[in-house]
Amino acid sequence: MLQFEFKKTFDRFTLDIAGQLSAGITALVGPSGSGKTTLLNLISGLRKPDSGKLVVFNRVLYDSQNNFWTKPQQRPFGYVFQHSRLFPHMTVRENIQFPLKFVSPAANRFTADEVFKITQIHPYLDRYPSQLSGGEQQRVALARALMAGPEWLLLDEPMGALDIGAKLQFLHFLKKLHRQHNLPMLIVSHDLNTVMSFADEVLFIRDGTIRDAGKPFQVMSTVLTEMELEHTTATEWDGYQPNYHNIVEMRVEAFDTQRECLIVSRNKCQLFLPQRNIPVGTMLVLHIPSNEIILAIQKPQQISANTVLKGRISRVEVVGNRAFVTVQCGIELVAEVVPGTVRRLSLQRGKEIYLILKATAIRIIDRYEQNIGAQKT
Amino acid sequence: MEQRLSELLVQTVLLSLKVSVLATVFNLLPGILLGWLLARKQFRGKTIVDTTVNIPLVLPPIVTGYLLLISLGPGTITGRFLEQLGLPVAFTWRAAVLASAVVSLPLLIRAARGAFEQVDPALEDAARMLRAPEWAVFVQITLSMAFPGIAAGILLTFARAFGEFGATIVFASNIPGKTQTIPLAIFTLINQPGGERYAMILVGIAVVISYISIFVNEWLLRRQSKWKR
Repeated sequence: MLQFEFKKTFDRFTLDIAGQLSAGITALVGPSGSGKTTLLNLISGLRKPDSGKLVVFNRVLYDSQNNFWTKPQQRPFGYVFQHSRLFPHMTVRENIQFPLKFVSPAANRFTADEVFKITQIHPYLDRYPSQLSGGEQQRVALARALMAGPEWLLLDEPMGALDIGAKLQFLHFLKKLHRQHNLPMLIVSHDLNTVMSFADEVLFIRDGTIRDAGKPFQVMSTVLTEMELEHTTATEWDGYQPNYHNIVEMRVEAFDTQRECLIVSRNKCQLFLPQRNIPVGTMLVLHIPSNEIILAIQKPQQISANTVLKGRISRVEVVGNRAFVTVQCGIELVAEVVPGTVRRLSLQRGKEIYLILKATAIRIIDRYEQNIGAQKT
Repeated sequence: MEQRLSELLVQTVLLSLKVSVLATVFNLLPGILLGWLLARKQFRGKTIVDTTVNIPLVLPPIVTGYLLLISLGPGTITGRFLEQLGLPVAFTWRAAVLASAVVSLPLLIRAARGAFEQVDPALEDAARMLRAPEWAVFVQITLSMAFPGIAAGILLTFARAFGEFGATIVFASNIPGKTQTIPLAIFTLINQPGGERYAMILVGIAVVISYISIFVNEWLLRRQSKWKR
């Protein structure tokens, strides 16, 4: 649990903010200039507030009333910045090892092996940061932050400069990290789709205060309503279309010669992919966009799509002019429809439903051999 | 006469190297410190400090030498005090070191300042978040990244100290074997019948040493710009 309460006045902007975060993944959203990065800097201790209080896991880190202040070095945070901020005069290996000089190995909750396994950076250890792509740099930055043994990870638009493939891959690393190590995260993002697909909770801040906090779909409704009310144009959210990124890890089982498709599975849920030459046993990280999934009440016959899954609806959320239907079918998949469809097909929690997936709509964003990185959850 | 002159020549070169190396070493701490201060800190009177440290760059060296003489010379209180300590300065090799140091210090300050300004403070924050204490942030990030630029400045400072003439001749005088550095010796020799031959040897040495200093300086500067993205 992290509780914060900060007041800070700048030349033309005042931040007056209080809230608390549970130990899951919290996304911090808001238009630019709303104070997102400032809040991260105040929590990390890189900037000093005028007054307030900060408590993490019952440990007071800052209390202006008692004139108590903890230096950033002594706070239990890891920070992944918008631009990787790797040290350009050091190799990747030296960057990664930098925190080890100041943190005793016993105090570290991550071993180097674990960090490598999560971030998959071994191929670049002897290169300099300038020789890496943006996505690789951010993975190294994440690895470096983990080597300092943080108890809470702060991320400031870590995927801001990445293309969609690298972004989803990084997201998958973060999700895995959270699942396996129970590491809480506070992540600033202006990409609402990423946030929605990823966070347990969302804080929506604007003009230096919290406007809404709660479950992603609920907060997203608030965000969309505010945007609509103000006819927001020319902002970074202009033209925003809600979309959920389903990211699943599945194992290659066989090649179906009749369908000429690859069969992948997880928890008895089977999908068909158009790829041909991937060996059996390989783990694939798949991206299934929510707007590529079709829902049907009855099992469709003789259709072109190869994958038809039977499942049960666990949640229906309406966000603006979209509805997101979460279905449990061995794995969890979110499908996106218009709100009218929810009424037309009377979609509701507990209803049995069929999901239709085109093989060509599924993207592979990462792959690895099962013995290296496969993790069962 | 011939032998005496060549002995003097060797002495002159060694003295010149000694004076310029010591002047450079003498400048290291104030040069790097002031460079860092001017690059990173905001304080009252910063413009005054900035102007003062740069003054020797534009002041005629002879004026700098004269100012040193009237503040540390034999007739002054500080001068007498230094003599009592057994460290007379004016008209000794120490004066040559001090004159060269004062004249070349601005070059080191400016180089160090520029080098520190090129280090993104965001990287220092990143190091703090990786648990690095302040001294480690300075040594391993700020100073390490600024080092090629500072080293280039050190070379430039050395080259300037090596060529110092005006302030030295006033404050240290032109005493062969004692305070006569290469530039002063050349000045004496070219005014002497038959001295040109020896002058040319010293001119050659001066050109080679200066050339190497500036060459290494450029090479170091190019190394630092490699790190920028």
